[in-house]
Amino acid sequence: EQADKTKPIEITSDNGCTMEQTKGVSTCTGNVVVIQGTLRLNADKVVATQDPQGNQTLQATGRIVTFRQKLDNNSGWIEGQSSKLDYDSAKHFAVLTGNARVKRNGDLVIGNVITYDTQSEVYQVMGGGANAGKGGRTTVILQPKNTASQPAAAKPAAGAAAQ
Amino acid sequence: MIKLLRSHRLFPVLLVGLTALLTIWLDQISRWDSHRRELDPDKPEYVAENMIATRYDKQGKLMDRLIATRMWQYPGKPDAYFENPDLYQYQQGVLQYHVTGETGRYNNKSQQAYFDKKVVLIKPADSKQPETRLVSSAMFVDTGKRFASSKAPSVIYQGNSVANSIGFSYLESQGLLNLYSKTKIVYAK
Repeated sequence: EQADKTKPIEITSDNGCTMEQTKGVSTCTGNVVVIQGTLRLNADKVVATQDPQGNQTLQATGRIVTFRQKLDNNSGWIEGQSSKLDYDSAKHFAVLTGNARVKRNGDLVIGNVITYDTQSEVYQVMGGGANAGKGGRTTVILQPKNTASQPAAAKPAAGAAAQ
Repeated sequence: MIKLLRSHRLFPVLLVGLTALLTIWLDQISRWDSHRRELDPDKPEYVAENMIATRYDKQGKLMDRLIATRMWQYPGKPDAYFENPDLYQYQQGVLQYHVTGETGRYNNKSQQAYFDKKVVLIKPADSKQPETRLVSSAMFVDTGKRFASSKAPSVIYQGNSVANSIGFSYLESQGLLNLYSKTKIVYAK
């Protein structure tokens, strides 16, 4: 939701955190859960960087990183998973890297890198496995929209490198 | 002949030895140390009320200052004990942090202090970061290394952000804060 980025970010972890105050970097490990408004992110390790203005960027890594966020106007939830996730709350941007999947109201997008703008709710998928360079397949599954019951939802932008 | 010689030489040596022993024995029993008063080890040797102790570095700048409503020390013990201690630590005369507690003790040789009950360590804000405040029920502070740690549940405030953990260690000189076990951090702008 739009309001998420103005909410405090809460990070809880099992194995503690290391905070380097002079650099504004905190590293938390062990079943890390990040909550900011309706956004909820789970990972094994999270590195949170706070700039002098207080804006936060998160880098989450782990065997599987999952995130879930409510969409505006009660149009459901968006869920994603990957092996790495970079989230910039000020620029309202999330980049999922490595076996990335994003699911939204039945629509499903699979690729190597998915970028998701939490403000415009547009996500972009790019293929290209670890050694496939720019190429690589992406998968986009769009559910038929029942125009009568559902408001027109913004379509995901097709991947630039989709082949 | 040899027998004669042997007893002739032995006797004086024996005599010298005996005399030496006698002298030592007499010295021991006659020694009476007027200064050492046998003190009760469970009672303070001295007590100071409402004290301010200040220490300066080689350049004459403030190094540390300890304020307490009461201070006492037991005979032969290295630790000094305090009520309501408030320890300020400076670097080149600039305040780096200060620690308060309801009770505490300080070992002057090891420069290590232990604070107890409602302990707060405050590092004032500077150009790089907002004020940091560590709150716990007990805290160990090594003033030589500017290092603080606790095993107790603790709350850390930094600007508007709050962190909770069970135990921490804080290397103040490098701004390195380790939160142990279950941790929760709430970042707020």
